[in-house]
Amino acid sequence: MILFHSTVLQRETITPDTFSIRLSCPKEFLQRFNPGQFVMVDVAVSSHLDPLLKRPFSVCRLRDDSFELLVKAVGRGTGILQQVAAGTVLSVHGPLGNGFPLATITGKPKIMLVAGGIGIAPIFSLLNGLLASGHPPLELIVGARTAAELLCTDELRKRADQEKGLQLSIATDDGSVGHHGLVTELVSWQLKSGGEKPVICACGPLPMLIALGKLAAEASCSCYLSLESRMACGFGVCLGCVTRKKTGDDRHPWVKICQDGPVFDAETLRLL
Amino acid sequence: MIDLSVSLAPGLCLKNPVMTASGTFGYGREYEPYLELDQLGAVVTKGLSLLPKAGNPPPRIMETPCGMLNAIGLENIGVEAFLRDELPGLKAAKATVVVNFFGETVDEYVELAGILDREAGIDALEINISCPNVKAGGLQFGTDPEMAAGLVAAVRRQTSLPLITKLSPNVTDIAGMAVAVAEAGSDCISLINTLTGMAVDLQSGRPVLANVTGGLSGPAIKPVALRMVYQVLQKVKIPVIGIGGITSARDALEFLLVGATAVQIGTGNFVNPAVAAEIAAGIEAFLRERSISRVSEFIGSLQLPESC
Ligand SMILES: Cc1cc2nc3c(=O)[nH]c(=O)nc-3n(C[C@H](O)[C@H](O)[C@H](O)COP(=O)(O)OP(=O)(O)OC[C@H]3O[C@@H](n4cnc5c(N)ncnc54)[C@H](O)[C@@H]3O)c2cc1C
Ligand SMILES: Cc1cc2nc3c(=O)[nH]c(=O)nc-3n(C[C@H](O)[C@H](O)[C@H](O)COP(=O)(O)O)c2cc1C
Ligand code: FES
Repeated sequence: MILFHSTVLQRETITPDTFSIRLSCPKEFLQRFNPGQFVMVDVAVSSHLDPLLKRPFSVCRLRDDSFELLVKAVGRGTGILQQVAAGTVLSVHGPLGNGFPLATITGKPKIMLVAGGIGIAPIFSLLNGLLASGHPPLELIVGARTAAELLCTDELRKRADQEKGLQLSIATDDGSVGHHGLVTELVSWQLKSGGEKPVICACGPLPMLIALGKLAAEASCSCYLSLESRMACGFGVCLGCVTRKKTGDDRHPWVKICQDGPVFDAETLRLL
Repeated sequence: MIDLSVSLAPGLCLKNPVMTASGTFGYGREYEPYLELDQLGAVVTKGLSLLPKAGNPPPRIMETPCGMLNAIGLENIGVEAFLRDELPGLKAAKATVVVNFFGETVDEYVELAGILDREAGIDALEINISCPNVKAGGLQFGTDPEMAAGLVAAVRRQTSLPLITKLSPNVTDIAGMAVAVAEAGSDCISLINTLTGMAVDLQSGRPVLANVTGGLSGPAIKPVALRMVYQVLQKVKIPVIGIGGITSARDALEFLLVGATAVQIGTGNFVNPAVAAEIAAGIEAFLRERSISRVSEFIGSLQLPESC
């Protein structure tokens, strides 16, 4: 993990409340990065230390001299980033946490990537990592509330057309495109349809992750989930981001999402 | 060469006045990627208890204007794991080590002080009498001068290590608390711990923190901390360590100006993990610019209006 000053190279509106932002970084950052890792980004752009804390974001894509975030504006900090001008310098800390276990998942006969809403960010970087390094057959399932809120679908469709081993399915809550319903329904059908047992890698809203963890357990598949939490530090020192582990006892019940995760083997957590 | 060294107690001389605040610096080595631990005045560890402690359920933190609320609930690995897994690394890094500790009864504090006293490589103890988060915990000690004094006296008898007492700001008479613990044998006083606060969520109609209330820290509390350091220094002769909202050398210098012998950096470490070292360098640069050769000459040089 490195602490560095980063220049905003580009910011692009994607939907009314989502945008991508490209940030410069040292080479070392790119070398160290694993898909699923995140960065803490300073959002105190115009007023020193206000907002006080850095905000956590998954890295969505690496470039030659920079990386990209895909951000949904949900509050003050993300609202500031949504307005930030190219050329602005921000303090960035990362890459942080543990990404997806690439060696383990590429050893499986099939990989299922599942993204809900803004959860596409780490899944997109994982997809790129897998496509670059050789991979077993890939099934990509993305969902959002409406067609208008689907992210990166043009690019994902293009990838799916080019790559023989990549199959894309889409679900929307209102049925405006793809399956009318939840991504978890698509996952459930896939798991029941037989064939090779996939390893599932997912990011999205907590209820979706909980449902996926259950489906995976029922089907005896391994399942890696990328979790979120409010974070003050992002590197394991504030103890603000804990969640309950499955095998914990009264004195050691937690894992830290920032340091032990954000990607966890679903079997090691007690999410409810 | 500017002399940045300060003395907090007989046998406790720091190479500079910048310490880290308990609970914001882990057990210390987590910060090795960002700074040299031996470049700090001292590292103060996460508060330790006799046995490991789970702390509160999440959500545990919430950002507030220029600050944050936390209700970690004193989660820690316990003294045994600390001595086995963390202290050797701190010693290897040549850090000056201050161990912050707490208990739920006088006996627990005393037993823990005894264990820490026997250990080589600990330079001082900081006794936390002031955590506002744990219902069963230190609250009563930190808000009642007699109980606080009794506790400090009992711990004092148990250890010959320099003893820092960390005060809670959640009292009406902070100077009275300071006098009580100074008379009970504390070598030094640190203040302030977090101010009790609360946040609620209009959307859900619930408190934000699972613990309902939490401790406020960060720049928002700096004026309160400065005022309390000032008031305590009117009443006690022992060294005072200023804590609260320090994120820059200027902030730290303000506490030194008022008369704090040293400072601790807390929430600022989360935002910039290298900030403690930057503050030490910034204090040196400021003194050089002013042609002040010793930080001790600057400490307490506040000019008060005639009427005070
Ligand atoms: C490891 C990790 C990776 C993330 N990756 C992305 C990403 O790629 N793209 C993206 O848009 N967002 C991501 N998030 C969520 C993002 O950090 C929050 O949306 C952001 O911190 C909100 O800041 P704010 O100041 O705008 O909101 P605030 O004003 O602080 O809060 C507004 C709302 O956001 C919620 N919120 C605040 N902080 C978080 C948080 N850390 N996690 C979840 N919800 C939060 C609050 O509950 C509140 O409802 C990630 C979070 C984590 C922990
Ligand atoms: C997340 C967090 C955990 C803390 N844990 C402890 C602790 O274990 N023991 C203690 O004495 N103080 C603890 N504190 C209080 C700090 O040491 C410090 O007194 C307070 O945060 C004010 O300083 P600041 O504004 O620089 O953060 C904690 C503070 C925070 C923010
Ligand atoms: S965010 Fe501080 S420990 Fe995880």
